[in-house]
Amino acid sequence: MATGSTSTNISELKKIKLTSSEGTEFVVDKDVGEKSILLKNMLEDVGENDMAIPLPNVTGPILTKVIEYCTHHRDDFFISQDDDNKKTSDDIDEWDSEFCKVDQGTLFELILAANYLDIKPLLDLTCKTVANMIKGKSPEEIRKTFNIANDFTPEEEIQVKRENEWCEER
Amino acid sequence: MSKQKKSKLIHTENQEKNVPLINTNSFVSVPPEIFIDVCKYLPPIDLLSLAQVCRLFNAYLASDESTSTQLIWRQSRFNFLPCYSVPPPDNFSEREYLRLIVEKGCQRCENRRVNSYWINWSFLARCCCRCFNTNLCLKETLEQDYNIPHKVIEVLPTRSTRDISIYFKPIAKKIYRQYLELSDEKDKLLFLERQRKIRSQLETTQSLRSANEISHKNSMALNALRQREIRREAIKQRVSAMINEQKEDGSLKWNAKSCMAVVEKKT
Repeated sequence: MATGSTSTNISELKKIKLTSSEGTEFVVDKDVGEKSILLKNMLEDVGENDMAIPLPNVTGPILTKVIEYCTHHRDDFFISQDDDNKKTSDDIDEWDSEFCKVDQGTLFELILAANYLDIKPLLDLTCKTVANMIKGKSPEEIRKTFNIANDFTPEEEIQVKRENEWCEER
Repeated sequence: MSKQKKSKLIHTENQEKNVPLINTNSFVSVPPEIFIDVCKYLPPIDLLSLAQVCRLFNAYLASDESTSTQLIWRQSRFNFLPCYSVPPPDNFSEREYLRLIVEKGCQRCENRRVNSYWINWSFLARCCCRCFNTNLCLKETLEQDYNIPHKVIEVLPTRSTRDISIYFKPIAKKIYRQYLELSDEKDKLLFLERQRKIRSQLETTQSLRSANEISHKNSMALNALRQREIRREAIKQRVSAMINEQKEDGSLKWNAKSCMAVVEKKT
């Protein structure tokens, strides 16, 4: 990712090493890696260290995506967004929405990785993307979108439909 | 997909890509906390569709006694109906509460088409005029017609206007029935205590709720007005553009009459 960043004065381009689940080593700038609260806390705990941090839950391709995201947003000031912040999924910027144009498997792996690595903005972004895939769809359309099997019996389906029919505004 | 089939699929996938089990990558396999995270961006209507997709999602969204279900609906209420920020009383689940607010029509006669209905915030009931008239009553009716003892009447939700207490028959009957079903004296006392708490919750929040409702309705009306204004502006612009549009031979493309026809079609 070429983002021509000029900041990072404090961390002075210190590098950290990460190992993906397959054992591939990734070297990233410290400030990029510290977008992950998990890594940040780990680094604080172990101090200066040349050892690679193993990430057994993240595959190489996903880690590449995560690093791409963190590099692009390295200069963003990630404030821990308060929960009273208005929750809307319509505020995704162009780069972010382009970033999320991946196959569904990758998208859900990204969500899990963001959750595991504790990168709140990436988790928010990916969850919003999924929410946008649900919005305005009928149950059948949602099944189709996510390739989910309808496992209700016909009787259950009628009952579930009746229980959930109370909202008419579209 | 059956469970067996699914695990088999994951298995072969692992062998091929040497991927640990945690990376099962579909919507149905995300952990509950992620499901909750996705749901916080969804208004009630989409949650209702989601609940009809499969058993798992239904379990997440329709288990009123589970904290996850409560949390999902509470998030939706806060984010999409911020005017209804007052929490429901203890005997209401978040989902029931949202339903009370969002659903149209009368709860008693199930007449969704009826135009004139409202929510009575003292009883948290949504009824048409006729059903309120037939179901609201005085203390004497509860005593004489339904033989409800004084100690139960005391804990029923009520609305007081000028020293007269008004009760809502369906709620009164339901609470009395629940009371009668208890055989143990201790349980009965506890039950009354709980009802008394709910009653006081209702009393303290009643005015707050109706104030919130009014501000909600006002903001909706204002929004509708604004939308209408935007549409009007768009039509005006279109018409003023059309007036000057010319055909290839230089004559005007539209006369006043066809202008209006196009505008009417657009609106």
